Amino acid sequence: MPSELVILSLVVVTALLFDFTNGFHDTANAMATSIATKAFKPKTAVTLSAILNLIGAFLSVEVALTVTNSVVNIQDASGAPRPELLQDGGQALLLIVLAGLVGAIVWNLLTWLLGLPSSSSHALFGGLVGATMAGLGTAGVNWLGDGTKPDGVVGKVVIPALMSPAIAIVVAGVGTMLVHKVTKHVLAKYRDTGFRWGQIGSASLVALAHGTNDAQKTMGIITLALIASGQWTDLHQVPFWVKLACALAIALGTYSGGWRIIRTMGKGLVELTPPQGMAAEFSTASVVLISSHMGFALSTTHVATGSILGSGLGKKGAKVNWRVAGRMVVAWGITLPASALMGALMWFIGHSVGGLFGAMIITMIMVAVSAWMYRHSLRTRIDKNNVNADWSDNGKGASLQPAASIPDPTHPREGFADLKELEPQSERELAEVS
Amino acid sequence: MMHALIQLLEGGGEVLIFSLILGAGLPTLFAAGVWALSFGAKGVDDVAEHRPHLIAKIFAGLCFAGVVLAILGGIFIIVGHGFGVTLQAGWPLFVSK
Repeated sequence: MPSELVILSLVVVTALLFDFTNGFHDTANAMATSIATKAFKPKTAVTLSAILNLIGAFLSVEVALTVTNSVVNIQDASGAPRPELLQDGGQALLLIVLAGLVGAIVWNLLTWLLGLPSSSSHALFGGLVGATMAGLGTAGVNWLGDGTKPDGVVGKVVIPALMSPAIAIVVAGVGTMLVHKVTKHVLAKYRDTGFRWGQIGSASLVALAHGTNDAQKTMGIITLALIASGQWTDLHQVPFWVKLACALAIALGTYSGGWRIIRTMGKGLVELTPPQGMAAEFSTASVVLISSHMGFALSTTHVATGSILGSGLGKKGAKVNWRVAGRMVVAWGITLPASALMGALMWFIGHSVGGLFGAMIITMIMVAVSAWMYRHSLRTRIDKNNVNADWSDNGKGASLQPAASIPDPTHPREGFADLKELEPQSERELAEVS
Repeated sequence: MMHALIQLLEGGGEVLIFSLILGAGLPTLFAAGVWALSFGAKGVDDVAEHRPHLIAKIFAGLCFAGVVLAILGGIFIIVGHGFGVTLQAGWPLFVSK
C-alpha cells in the first residue's frame, strides 16, 4: 500500500475515534439530568441516547464539507482543499488534520478522566487551530472571518461560548422558578412521575439534535481527507460509508456512556429534583435548537451545563456546588488553547519525523496516552451502578475515591488535586498560544 | 468586526427571547397540567386515594398535548434541517431553503 494511503487510513480511523469520544463525552448533555432524577435507568438512558444519535447522524443530509473553514484556512469556500497543500497525495493537509484530531482526542480523554464536561467541538477546533498554526503559521487560522458576519475562532467559538451558558442559565432559572410556583401545592405523587415524563421528551430532543450536529463534523473532516488524497472528488456529497461509519462511531460512544461526566453534571453541580431536571432539559433543547435554526454555532455542553446551573439558581434553597462549577468553567476556558497546544505539538513531532513514520508515531502516541488514561480511570471506576451515588462534597466526588484516600475535608484545596497538576501546565499553554 | 459583533449580540438576544418563551414556557405549561391533576387535593385526608376530577383531567391533557406538540415541532425542525427545508409559521409548513 502506498504511504499516502496508509496516512489516509490513519486519519480516517483517528477521526472515527474522535467521533467515539465525542459521543461518550456528550451523553451527559442529554441524559445526565434524566439519570440523576431517575426518569431513566442509567442503561436505558444511554441506549436511547445512542439510538437517537444514530438516527440524528443519518438525518444530516445537508453536507458539512466546509466544517474546518470556521476556524482554519485549509479549504476554500467551496470545500476544496487548498492546492498548495496537495503535493505528495495531500500529505501536508493530512498531517495537519491528523495532528489536530490527536490533540482533540487526548484533551477529550483527559477531561473525561477528570470528570469535566468540556466541549468536544472546542477540542476539535482547538486541535485543528493548533496543528494549522504549527504547519502554516498564524495566517492559516481564521480568527475573525471577513468581519461581515460572525465567523472565525472569535465569532464562531469564543463569543458563543461566553454567551450560550449565560442564556441557558437565565432560561433554566426562570423555568425552574415558574415551575415551582405553579406546582407549590401539588401532590408529590403527581409531581415526580409527571415531570419525569416531561424530561424524557426533552432529553430525547437534545440527543437527536446532538447526532445531527456533531456526527456531521467528523463526516466533513473525513471527506476532506479523502478529497485531499484524491480518493473522492464530489464537493457536494459525503460517501455513504463515511456517513455510516461516523453514525455508528458516535452512537457507540454514546452507548458506552461517559459515566464520569454524567455523574458530574447530574450529581455534582446541583442536587436535582424532577421539576428542576425538566426545566433544565427544556432549556437546553430550546437554546440548542433555536440557535442552530438561526445559524449560530454553539456547544451543547455549555448550554446543558448552564441549564443545570440555572435550575439550581431558580429553586429556592437549592444549592449549587460552586467548587465543581468553577473547575468546569476553568476547563471550558482552557479547552481551546490546551487542545491547540497538543495539536501543534503533534504536528511538530509528525513533521520532524516526516512522512509515513511521522504520522504513525503521533498515532502511536495517541494510543499510548489513551491506554494510560483508560488504565488510570479503572482505579476509580464509575459506571451505571454508581453513577448516582451521593456526591461527597468534601472531596473529588467525581472519582469516588477509595476509602483510604478520601481527602481531608478541613483542607480547603483538597479535591483539586488533579486540577492542581493541570493548572500550571495550562497557564503555560495559554501563554504559548496567545 | 463591529458589524459581526452586533450581529452576534442581536442574535443572542433573539435566542434568549425565543428560548424564554419555549424553554421556560413549556415546562410551566407542563407544570400547569400537573397542578390540574392535583386540584382539590388540599383537604383530602388520604392522598393515595385522590383521583383527579374529569375537568381537571381534560385541562391537564390539553397542557400535556401542547408540550408534546412542541416536542414534535422540535423534531420536525431537526429533520427539516437535515433535508434542507425549513419550518415556517404559515402554510405550507415546510419550505425549501
